Amino acid sequence: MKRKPLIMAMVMLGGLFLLGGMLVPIPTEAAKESIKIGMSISTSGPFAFASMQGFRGVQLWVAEVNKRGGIPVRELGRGLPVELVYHDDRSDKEVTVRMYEKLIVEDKVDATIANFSSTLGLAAAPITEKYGKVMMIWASAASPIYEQGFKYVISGSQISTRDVPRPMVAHAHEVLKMKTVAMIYVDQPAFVDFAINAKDEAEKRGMKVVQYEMFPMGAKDFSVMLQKARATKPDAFMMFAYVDDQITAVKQMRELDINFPYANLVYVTLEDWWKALGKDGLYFSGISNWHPDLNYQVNVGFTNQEMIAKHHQMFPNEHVTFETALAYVNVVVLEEMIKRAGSLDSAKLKQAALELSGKLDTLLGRYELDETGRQLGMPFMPMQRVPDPATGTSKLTILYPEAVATGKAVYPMPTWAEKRK
Amino acid sequence: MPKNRALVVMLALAGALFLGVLVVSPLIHLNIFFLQRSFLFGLIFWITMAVGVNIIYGYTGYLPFGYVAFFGVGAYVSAALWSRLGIPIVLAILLGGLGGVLLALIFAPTLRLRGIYFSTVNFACAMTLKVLAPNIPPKVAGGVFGISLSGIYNPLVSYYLALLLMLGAILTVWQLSRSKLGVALKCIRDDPEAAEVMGINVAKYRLQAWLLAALFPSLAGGLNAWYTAVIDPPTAFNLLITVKAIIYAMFGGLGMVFGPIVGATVLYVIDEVIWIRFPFWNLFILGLVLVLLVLFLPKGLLGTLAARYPQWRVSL
Repeated sequence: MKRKPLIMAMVMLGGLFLLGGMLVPIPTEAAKESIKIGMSISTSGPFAFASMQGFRGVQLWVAEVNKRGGIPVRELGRGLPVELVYHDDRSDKEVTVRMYEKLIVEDKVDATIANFSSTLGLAAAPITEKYGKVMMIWASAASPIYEQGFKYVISGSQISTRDVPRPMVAHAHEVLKMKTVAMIYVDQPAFVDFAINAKDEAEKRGMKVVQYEMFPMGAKDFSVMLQKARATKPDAFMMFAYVDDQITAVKQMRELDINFPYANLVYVTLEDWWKALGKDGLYFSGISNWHPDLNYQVNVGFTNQEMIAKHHQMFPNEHVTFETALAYVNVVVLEEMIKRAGSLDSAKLKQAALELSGKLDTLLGRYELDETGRQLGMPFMPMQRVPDPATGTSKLTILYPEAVATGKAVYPMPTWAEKRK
Repeated sequence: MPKNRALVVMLALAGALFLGVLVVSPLIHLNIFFLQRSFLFGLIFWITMAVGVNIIYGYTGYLPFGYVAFFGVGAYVSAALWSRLGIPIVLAILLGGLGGVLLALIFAPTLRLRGIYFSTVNFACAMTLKVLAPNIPPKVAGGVFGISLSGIYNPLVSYYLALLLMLGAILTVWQLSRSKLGVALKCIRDDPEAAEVMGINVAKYRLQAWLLAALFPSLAGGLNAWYTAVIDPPTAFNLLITVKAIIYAMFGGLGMVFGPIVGATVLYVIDEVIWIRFPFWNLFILGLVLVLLVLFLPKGLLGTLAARYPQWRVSL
């Protein structure tokens, strides 16, 4: 007897659900209002500085593209503004995975941009591949990312670390006629890749690598390694590490009066180098694919000078760095991919990316892509920091290749005693 | 006793609901951040780590500042076995767990030390592994690049296996708390000399707890590597993993079954909320929250509750 009311109640409930289900409108897909581009940025952690430099490059592009009325998408028969969706990954691999899933599943972005760092790029790529979304790389430089068989990973601007150090070694060998080189490097993927390929290039050219030593991230005392380098009397000393480490190493060189005829420390090209070291930082060389005086002819995006001016307007308290330039050019390439594909479909975008190879001239040079998504153009150039009599500060001389060189290297470098005079 | 029974029923219902959410949410793709698979995977991971720490710290009083070593070794062994030898990933993860236990055996002599000495030596051992990892030849363990597992990326299966691991860890601690071993460990924690005098084989029981505590983070490391599809030295031996596992366990209440579960859940959610609302200040605010919690709730949430209501201690 007690069962009947229970069964009746269940039937009524079931009926109510059914009715409710029929009354709930089936959501139709809303008309597309924007092209959503998603990325993660690091506001804290070891990648924060570089990530935020790059983020500004992307913001610069978004503002400019929307001022022009957006990007025409042929399949939709109209142009659409760009909407940038971003989340913080805290420089953390696990959080990166969550953020890219959120960008794709929840925010429903049409394409993604990788963050700074090869580890974060390698963490994000399986997610974007799984969901079939293009991921544009501007800073995940380590070669392994292009060896995983990812279909939709495309480097719009960052050449892989395999190719970064080759021009600096070529300059040391061809122009400065050096025969021996000492190398130290931090145990981080990009820098290890630099070192491996710099050593490889040096040995191919018949140079002798007299020191080749790795140190752990976080190490702050380089005195032993520097003294060992001095003992080998190399023609060139090269250090592949983050800018803080390099600044510390130069200070220790000064304290120990360690001099090299030529020293290339990668990040010499940053303004922070000059701010931190002042005159002690003079005559060291670095590498960059960007320089304020770089003057490539462009057929897409801003020229270098235009980008610097627009960046100053939008971010008056910040400087353009090579990360800004890399990230900016990366999204300029994405824009061209969308225009060529006429679509936001990932397979069509990848096809467009390959078809555009060799056809885009950007402020960083020519865009060239291989099948794996690896960028082959936009080379890095060795540059030396020298005094600038006009401003009383310093400037960078592009040393190589000859086509874009703005001067010759001061070689050998003045010693510490000579610098103090 | 009626009050305790009510507590047990409440805990059971809450546990069932919690488990239901963990099981069902990844399948139905709800557009709510806290119910998304990637968020829940993180929660499962931290509960497992906190429960594991509780075994060695909560039950024996040994504070393992190098706890991340087991996570890292488990992750690396799993990834290397899969990518270099073609061993099926689930078997590779189990072997990774075994690797962590072997590491614990190697570290076992450090159990002779006490207090801060044990913690410091344990920390040094983990940092040694962190420095060693990138120097292992790339053919073996990927060098500084680590190992990519993108070829077998399967977040759903790895998620559910992680859930099973978490449940296994909780059941293990549940059994431990009701076993002779658990009682012996608490005696050792409170007074090892007295425990020895009472006839408890301190060295033997401590070693058992140590090996058990090493198993869960090692397996979690392998599953984490599979879920995120990449492992490299900085992330495999990140000190923050040790710190968070310990803090989450402490916050909930050490030496209790549900303490680490509650602690990890509450603090993980607070951490996420702070980070979403204050991305630039999150570490500072989180630190502040932790200081306040330690000042006002030094026994942890459930520990404070148990101190107020001693009859609930058995159930917690």
